[in-house]
Amino acid sequence: MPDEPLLRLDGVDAFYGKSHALRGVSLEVHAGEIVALLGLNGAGKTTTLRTIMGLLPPRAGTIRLRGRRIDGMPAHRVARLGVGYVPEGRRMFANLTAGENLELAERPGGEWSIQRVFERFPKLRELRGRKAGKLSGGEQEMLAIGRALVGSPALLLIDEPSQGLGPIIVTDVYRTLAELRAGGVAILLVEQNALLALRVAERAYVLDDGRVVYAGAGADLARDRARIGTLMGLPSDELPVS
Amino acid sequence: MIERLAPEVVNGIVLGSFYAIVAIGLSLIMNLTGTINLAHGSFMTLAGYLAFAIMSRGGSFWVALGGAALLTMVVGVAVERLFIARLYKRIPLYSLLLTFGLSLIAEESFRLIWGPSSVPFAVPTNLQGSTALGNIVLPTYRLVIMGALVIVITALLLFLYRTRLGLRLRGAVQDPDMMAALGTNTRVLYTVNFAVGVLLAAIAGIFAAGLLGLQPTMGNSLLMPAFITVVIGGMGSLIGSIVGGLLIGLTVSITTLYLPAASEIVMYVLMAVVLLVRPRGLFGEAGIFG
Amino acid sequence: MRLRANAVGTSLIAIVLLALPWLLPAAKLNISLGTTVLLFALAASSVNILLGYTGLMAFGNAAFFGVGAYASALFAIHTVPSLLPAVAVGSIAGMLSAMLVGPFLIRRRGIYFSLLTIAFGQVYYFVAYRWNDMTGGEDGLTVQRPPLAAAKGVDDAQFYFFALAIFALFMVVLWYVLRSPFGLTLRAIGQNEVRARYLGIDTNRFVYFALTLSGLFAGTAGALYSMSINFAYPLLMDWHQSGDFVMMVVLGGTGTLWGPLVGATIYALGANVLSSATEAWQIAIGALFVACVLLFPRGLLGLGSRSGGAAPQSLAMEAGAEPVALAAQGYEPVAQRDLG
Repeated sequence: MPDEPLLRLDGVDAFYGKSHALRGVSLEVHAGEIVALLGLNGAGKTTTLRTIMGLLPPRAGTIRLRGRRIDGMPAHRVARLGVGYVPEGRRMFANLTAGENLELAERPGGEWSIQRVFERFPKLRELRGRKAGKLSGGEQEMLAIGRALVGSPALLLIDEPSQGLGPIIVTDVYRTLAELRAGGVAILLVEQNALLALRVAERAYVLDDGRVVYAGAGADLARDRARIGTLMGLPSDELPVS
Repeated sequence: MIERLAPEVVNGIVLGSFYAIVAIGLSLIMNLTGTINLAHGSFMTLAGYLAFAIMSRGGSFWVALGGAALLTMVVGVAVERLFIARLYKRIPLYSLLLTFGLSLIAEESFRLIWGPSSVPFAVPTNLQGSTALGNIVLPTYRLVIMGALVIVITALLLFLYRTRLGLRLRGAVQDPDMMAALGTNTRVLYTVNFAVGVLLAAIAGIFAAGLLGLQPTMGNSLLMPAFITVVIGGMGSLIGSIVGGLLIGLTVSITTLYLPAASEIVMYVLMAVVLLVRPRGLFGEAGIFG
Repeated sequence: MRLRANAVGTSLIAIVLLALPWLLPAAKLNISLGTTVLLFALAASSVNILLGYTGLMAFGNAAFFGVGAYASALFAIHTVPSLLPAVAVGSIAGMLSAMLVGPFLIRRRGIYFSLLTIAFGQVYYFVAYRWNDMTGGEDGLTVQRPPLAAAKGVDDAQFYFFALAIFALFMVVLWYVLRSPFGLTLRAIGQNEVRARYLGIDTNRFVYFALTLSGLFAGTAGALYSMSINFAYPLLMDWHQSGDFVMMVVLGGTGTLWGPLVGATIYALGANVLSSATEAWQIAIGALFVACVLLFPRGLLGLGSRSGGAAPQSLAMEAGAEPVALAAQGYEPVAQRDLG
């Protein structure tokens, strides 16, 4: 694994108006790994992704992609530098077809093309003519991932992929994430369902009230699962057994 | 019967096409950035005067049409970049007031440069007079306008629904942040969008000049009915602007035939009726702009 | 957002306004300019009620203003030529004109609301322009200023004090209203309407009341205006006039009690000075508007209700977060009731 992380946040502060959403957040994502970003509602997980994506400018701190500072860059530049975004709730362009959702993200000359997305997700090819708003939750999640992939990202920011989906579909989605990792895409994964995320992640951070309160990697994660559960506010009888 | 009705129907479609084109321009600008462009009429008038200036220097009508439309579009791009773009992050009140201020400056400038009364806008001789279609005799200029506006609207729809750029515009109307996150430079998109809106206004203005007469307040006289059209057709809907425009145009024209005293008020009655039945307009949809 | 009943500031304003009939002529200006400033300030206050406090971008208040102007003139011409009843009729007419279009407006917000105010403003303008028999059409309505009591006429200086008295009355009323539960509710709606709904407020109903109050203020201003200039004409209702009123609020400072007066003063003085200086004064006024919007959007008194305007998206973000949080605490939004 290369030394320089693919993505690195150092002491990032972000505000929504007067509300201090992120307080000195520092984290890393290395190429080819899945990193879980955990925490309760309102802890700042989505805000972190939005700040990385350039949708919210940080008030302080730096964000580096492959060593190059991207904090303060507009979202479209961050996207073109190789960051893909699969937002919470999928944010489909509901009145456009599934195919059109993919088309408007298309950028020539990259690893991924719309054709390749269709090969990877054959269901989407079937659904290409259907209005995106009419797709099921699982189909939308696949489309959202495909839409982000069309830009050939090196890093994928995924927010709550399991939200509103049944267990079978969730397994499907997570299998896809593991495959993408195997294909070389790094993933920063925001999840409310900590156990789910910890099953695939090599590294995990827990946010609470805008601060990083836990950071761990590899074998430590298995050992720390109970502690993570406490930090997430799970009642003691629901804590995962290490 | 047909002989009586047909000219009014054509009038109605011509009038309606004007309203539709101006309304579509307004709608495009409003839907994407929430900017209510009170200077839209000023762009129409500007295009008329520029066309007049080109023809005064010997240009043909069609050269003037193309030249003035493009020039006006360039002015529109400048206005958007210099002024309006600064206000996107604020509540829409400010862009509304900005365009209001610009419209005041524009109107007075026209008065200073070209005088307060009508200037003789020459409709080319081969477009004057009448054309006979079977039994029906119709003014040629109006037929040409109708044809031109239909072509323009069709071209616009093709642009929006058949090109990548048009697709991106339609996406950005729904969710500009997501468009940016997918790699589209939304600032450029906003400029392109505004430019298209102004281009439509310019074309309408140049044709209107030959029909209504060219003076500093010409554009504003078409502006308010265009607003009514947007209200009737529904905010956020281009199809609504087209249908609304044609509906108003036809209703006004046919009313002129049977009940001339009511022909002007019918537009407002129509608006009230539509809003009672469909509070968002005929094709209006819930959007982020209220 | 603070509502400062600044005693010093208010006293200062009161002194200046009382001294105006002597100050203006000293500056070679007509006292009727002072009257105009007061009436425009009252009209701008009507906009401020909607814009500065309730958060609604109203762009059609000139219609209510114009209705007041015509109503008082028509009353003075056709019924009793007496000043106070004529003004009262104008005030009520302005209020009714707002109540009439209210139901169309209250269910929308944002720029759609603005669009509707523009559209309905035009309806009133059209009626004034076309209903020749009643309104004199394009030529307008000339009216002799009726006497206040007995047969004694009212000259310009006396009319100024009359207008000042009414202005002061309305400003006191406004001040009380803004501090009352009703006023606080309006301001809550202006700050965060979603939250207000979650707290059980039927916001549409309050918007209707705000519109009614706004119509009353604008109608009174208009009623006095036609009495002041002895004339009522359609352009009083035009969208340009509405825009001028909105601009006065912004120039002075949205959401402040005296902002409209300050803005009206800037506008009226500016127009007066500029129009005698150059024929192209409209360009200067337009440039002033543009400069204000771009460079000092908070206006002179500087306490804009949304601090120069936060981005709609971030507001939506905040609004989006609130319902979730509030719902989690057991609140549910009140269903919007239609009126009638």
